[in-house]
Amino acid sequence: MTVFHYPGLYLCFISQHLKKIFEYRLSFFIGIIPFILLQLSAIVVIWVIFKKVPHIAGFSFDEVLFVYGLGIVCYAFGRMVFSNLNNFGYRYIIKGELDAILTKPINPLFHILATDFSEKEIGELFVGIILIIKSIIGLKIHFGILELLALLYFLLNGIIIYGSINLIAVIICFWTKDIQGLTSPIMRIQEFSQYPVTIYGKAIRFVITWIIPFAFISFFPAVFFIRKEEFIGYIICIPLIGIIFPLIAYLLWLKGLSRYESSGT
Amino acid sequence: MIILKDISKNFKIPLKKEGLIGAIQGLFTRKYTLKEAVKSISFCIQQGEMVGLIGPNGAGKSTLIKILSGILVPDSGEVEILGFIPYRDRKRYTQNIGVVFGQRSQLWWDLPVYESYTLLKKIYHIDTATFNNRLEEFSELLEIKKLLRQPVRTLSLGEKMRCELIASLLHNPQVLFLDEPTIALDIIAKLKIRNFITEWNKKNNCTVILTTHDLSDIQDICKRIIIINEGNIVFDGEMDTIIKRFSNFRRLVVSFSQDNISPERIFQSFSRDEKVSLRELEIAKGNNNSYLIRFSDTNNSIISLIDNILNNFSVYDIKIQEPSIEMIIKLIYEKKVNLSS
Amino acid sequence: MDIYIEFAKKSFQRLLAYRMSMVFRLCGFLVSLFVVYYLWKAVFNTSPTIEGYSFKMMLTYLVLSFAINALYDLPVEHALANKIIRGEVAMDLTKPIDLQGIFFAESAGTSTNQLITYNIAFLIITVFLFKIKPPASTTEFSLFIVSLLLGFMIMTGIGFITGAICFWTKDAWGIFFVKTALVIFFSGSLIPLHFLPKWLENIAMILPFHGIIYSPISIYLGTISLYKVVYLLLNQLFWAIILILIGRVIWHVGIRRVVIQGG
Repeated sequence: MTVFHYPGLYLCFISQHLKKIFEYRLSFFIGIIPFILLQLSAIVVIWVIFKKVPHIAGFSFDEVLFVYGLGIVCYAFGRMVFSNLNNFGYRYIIKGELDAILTKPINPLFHILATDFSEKEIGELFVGIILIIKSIIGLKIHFGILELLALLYFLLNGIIIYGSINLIAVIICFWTKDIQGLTSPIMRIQEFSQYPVTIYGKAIRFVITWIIPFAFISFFPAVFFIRKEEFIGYIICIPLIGIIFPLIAYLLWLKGLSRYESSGT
Repeated sequence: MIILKDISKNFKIPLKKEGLIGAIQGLFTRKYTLKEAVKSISFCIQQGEMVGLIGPNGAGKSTLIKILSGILVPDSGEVEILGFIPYRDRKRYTQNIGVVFGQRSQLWWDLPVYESYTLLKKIYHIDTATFNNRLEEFSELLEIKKLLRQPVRTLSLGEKMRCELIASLLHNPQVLFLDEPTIALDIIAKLKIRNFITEWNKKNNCTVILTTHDLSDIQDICKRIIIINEGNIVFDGEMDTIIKRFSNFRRLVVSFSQDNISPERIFQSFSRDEKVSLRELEIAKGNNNSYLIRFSDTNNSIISLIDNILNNFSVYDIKIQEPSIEMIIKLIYEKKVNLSS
Repeated sequence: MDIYIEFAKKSFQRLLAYRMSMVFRLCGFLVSLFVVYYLWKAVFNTSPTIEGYSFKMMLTYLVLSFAINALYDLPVEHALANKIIRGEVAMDLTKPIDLQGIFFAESAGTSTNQLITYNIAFLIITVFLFKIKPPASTTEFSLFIVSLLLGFMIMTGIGFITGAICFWTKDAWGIFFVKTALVIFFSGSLIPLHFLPKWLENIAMILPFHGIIYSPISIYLGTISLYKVVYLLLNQLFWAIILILIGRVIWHVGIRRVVIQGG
């Protein structure tokens, strides 16, 4: 088994899930609606705000929408791909399914990620894409092939950072088996990065930039397109965070795994 | 070929404190007790052997099987299986083994069984022709052909276990680990699984290591048995030895449908029978109108005892009780049975 | 009545077991609260009053909205739905109790538990952090409590209806979540309803959901006339009764279905 087999294997896993979705079509549609409704509600709030005031913290309506839309796309996609991580504590550690995973000749982390896939966020994903398109037109951003490539790169980078944060938040379970609840508050800090970080105080900005780097997922990439020059230093850091953070996450995963191997369930 | 040398494994078990305050304290400081799950175990298993691993709950069986299957790293000692060190060469090692955990599934809960198999085909790189042949053969033997298109969640326990077994054999492993494969199954389902394992071992010369609570599993499948208690091997040898030694502890439980029975009357009836010897024969009263008859195989055949009882009394029910694993271990410990001879 | 109190107690006790996860959920809520705090702070920096609200009133509105929503955070309708889907509801029919009554009792137990173990902690923290506005007067505060109770009846009435829908579908999760999304928006959880454009506000005021969040908090803040307060309370009462009746009808039709078709 080499690295090159993994994409094919992943597709094979995913196609199983697609079959399941086709089997329960009605569930699928009922499942995606609430996510769309919740996003629409949040967008209505932004829209109402901008009916009352022309800008917040230096950002116009379309700029805020762009930041928000990019965020939705990254988070929705991240939650789709990394959905099984949220079962990690209960299913793999407490119920012990990790044992079965470890007796298979493929990378255990890959196996866990490929085992589940959430399709419910697909509606949100489209809301996000529409927001991005709408705001790009509204902001009159020049959008050629280079910008498209940059956008795709940032999305990929953002999804990887999201996955790394999520991974770190769940592998705490290797150490604190009884406390799985910690994952959700950590992941909720993500909400801070939905709006321009300029609205927050210094402490929160520091946390979501350098401790749990949610701001690098969508906000700094967004300001790259909006051309806010004061963030140039952060924009340069985006690719670095996209490499360093996944590395930290994977090393912690290996450390957690070796702890599991020496202590069992 | 499986070689274990002086394998030992300890666990730190945190002592939990009560309540919310305790839980918060537990985040920062914890006290542990040390549990020696496996204490310096050594053995050697040849290719093609079928070995039963038994012991009471918490004896160290599952720790041992986890070490053998590469899930746990031992604290000290050496393991070598098929030329691999399981926990170190995991990816290449696991390509050559099959593992069935009786209480955990490797099948995808809401997918049809067949789809799970195709995923395993990918995971183990089985080529299509081989895969089809094996699946055809296995599903024929284990009678699960009709189930292949059903989602796993709709299967009964016995059906699921047969499907699990196939899942762990599709890549033709050289070593098969079965951890409690017959747990919670009915007798017919158990028999199907036992027969299949025996057949398959004969055909492929695959090593099988089996843990179980049910001594009859081992009697049917394994020649060799390893008994573990409190992390130590208390017996490692032929199943026949155990059967011979412990057959003296078999008992007949007879419920009579007539009154006025007493141990003396049963003795009388036995003493008039020339096929029955009274040596090492004990009779005790059980519940209601039932009696326990302990006898030894060397002196009496079970058939002649039953014959005698049926001819002379009116009987409601007869049961044969095999000694339980717990009882065997207790007897070994109390040195009532000497296994070294 | 005793039996219903017993059910409320049981429900309450069960939840005490989840204290640790409550601490974590509290952290999660605080994160969301901080986000809206800073968002609206930035908005009110540009314009000190909007639609008659100062920043402090807005903040009070949002904190109360979070607190009230937390009362309903662990919906009892999941248990009801599971009961129906697994066919266990037939067992309950053999007992001399009214299942809608039990449902309200269990919801009351859950909410009371949330109030004691969670809301009080939440309110202490938020009062300390954000210095929210005290109620306009004792009259307003008592009317707020009345409105809150009526809001509870509305929320629970809706919960019972969505739970009972499971007689017809097994997709309980999706339907509950759709309901939650609708409640969040149309109850005014995210934004006071009079901030919305007129047409959207009108839709929201026609639907029953505003009685859950918007009515009680508006009463608390004392920004509306006494006449409007009475109107809101009567409107809540009207919806509470209607929803309970609708729930009963749906329930009986559903039960008929189970009895006739055997689930």
